[in-house]
Amino acid sequence: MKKLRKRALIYPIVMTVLTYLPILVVAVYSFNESKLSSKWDGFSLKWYAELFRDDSILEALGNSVFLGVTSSVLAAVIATSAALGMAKSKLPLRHWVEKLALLPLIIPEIVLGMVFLAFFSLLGLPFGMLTLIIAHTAFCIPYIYTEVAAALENLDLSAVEAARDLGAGRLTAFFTVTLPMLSPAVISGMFLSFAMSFDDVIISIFVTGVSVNTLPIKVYTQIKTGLSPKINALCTIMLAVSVLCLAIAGIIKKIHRKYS
Amino acid sequence: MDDVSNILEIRGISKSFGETSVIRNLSFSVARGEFLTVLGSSGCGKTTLLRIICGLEETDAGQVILDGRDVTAAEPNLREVNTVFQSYALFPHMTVFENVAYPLRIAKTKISKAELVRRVSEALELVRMTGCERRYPSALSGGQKQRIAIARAIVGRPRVLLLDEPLGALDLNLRRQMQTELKNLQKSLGITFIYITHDQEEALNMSDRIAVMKNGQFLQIGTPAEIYDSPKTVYAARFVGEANILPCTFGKMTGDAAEVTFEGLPLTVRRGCISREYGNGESVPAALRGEQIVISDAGRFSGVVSDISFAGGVMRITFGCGGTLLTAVRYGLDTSVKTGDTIRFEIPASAAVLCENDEGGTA
Repeated sequence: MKKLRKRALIYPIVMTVLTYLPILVVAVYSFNESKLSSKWDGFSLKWYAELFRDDSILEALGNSVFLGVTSSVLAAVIATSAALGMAKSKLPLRHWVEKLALLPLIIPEIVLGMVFLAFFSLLGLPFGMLTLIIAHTAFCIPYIYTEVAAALENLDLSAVEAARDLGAGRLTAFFTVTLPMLSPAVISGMFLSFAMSFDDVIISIFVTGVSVNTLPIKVYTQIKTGLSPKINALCTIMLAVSVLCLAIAGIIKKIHRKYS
Repeated sequence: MDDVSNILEIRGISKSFGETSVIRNLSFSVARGEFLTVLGSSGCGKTTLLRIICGLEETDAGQVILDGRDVTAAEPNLREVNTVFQSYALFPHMTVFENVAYPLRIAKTKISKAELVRRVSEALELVRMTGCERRYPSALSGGQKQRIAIARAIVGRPRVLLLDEPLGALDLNLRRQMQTELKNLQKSLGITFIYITHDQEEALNMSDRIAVMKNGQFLQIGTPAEIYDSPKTVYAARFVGEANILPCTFGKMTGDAAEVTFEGLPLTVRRGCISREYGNGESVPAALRGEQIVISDAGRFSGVVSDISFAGGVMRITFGCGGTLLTAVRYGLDTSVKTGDTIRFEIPASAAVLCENDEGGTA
């Protein structure tokens, strides 16, 4: 029995090492005094300081945050209305429509990127922030949709009927009862979307113009000119942001489950 | 009846879901301040009826007149009718105070903060839930949720309060206690209650009038005493107060009474709600309450006891008489009767009442 348990432990350890060791190395070396990643010269925040003095990186950061927030908000509006409409609809093809909506989750990103590129060229849209927002909104929708659809399934819609019965018009009932009851799902979905948008590089590269850089694109192009501790620092920050977003999404869901 | 005395009038409403007809051409009126109970087993259409009255369901035909105003097409928020839902339907993201304050906050006519607090406290006091203002529904028990749902429904002073099996999820003791409280609440508020239940005890305890519902129609509507005394049909007789049904052979009508034969012996029964005439020799059911059967050696009828139960001070003696199983009810324990005994019994004149056979087959 004990032997078996020991053996069962090996797999998680191997997996953890494979995934997290490289991350750890990058994170640790972002605090390295030395410019070379081969030797440790002591703890320093100088690469972070340098990062925040670099205007092109700050601009990319601004773009990434703007893009992430805008597309999460847009995706939240679309996905929430879609999930609500879907829950009420009695269409026979409902489940197929639903599966179709979730397809972007499994379509290879490179395909999605290509498709967006071709489509936007066809429409003659200028490549830049607008095309980025459209593409990011599109691939963020399924993340929020799944969250909201799952929440709707467990939601007691009689509370909404009660609101209408107690004197609330359709809109009032939506904003005072339906939306607040769904908000944990919507918000956690938005954090998830933001994390996805914030670290997306493949689709972004296809749909961005020459003038607009996001943080992941910046990392990607910088690496071509060689690794630097500055990039380590940037990656560490991005990692922290992503982990934070996912953690917040998880905590919101957990708290909500406790109170309903 | 005119619109002034009736708070609610239902005129010929019908509702179908797909092929299933749930409510069939139903009409009735409810007087101001009345406590009307709609009694029926599950699936009889009583919840659909309630949802049509409060506007959450559209009627296929007919009209809903609330206090003289036709509200048939009005949205639920534009009807001065509030509902206590079976599932309570409290808002989980709001505290008890916010739940109860909700109807006042969203109302078109704004009231001052002090007035709001006063009215919410008043409503909470009525349901004896003062002190729970800051708690969330998830921290309340079933009975407490129930009270909050009632407080929330009465705080806006609706003209009619609809209650959909509000006590269904509570245990027996709490249910009995809440029955009394609800009745008192209705009296002190003076609001019209339309109460839906499948529990005949609740109906008999609380109502001014009971409507017995079956297959989307009212079989009978009347005071609890009327329905208990003169059930119109076999179903109503069995559903309200568990009557014995005697298969009788019709003889003749004489005013309010009728001469029939049961088990070959002549019997005088009340005419009850029967309006049509029967032919001589036609079979007709009569309802007889268990407490009206007199077990005595002087009785003309005889039966063989098949079962005896004693619960809550009430003794039920079930015996077969011809092809019919009858249950006599006696108060207090009588050890002289045993299972397997042959007993003699009498049915006093005018104890049984004729009713319509609505259960199919011969009664």
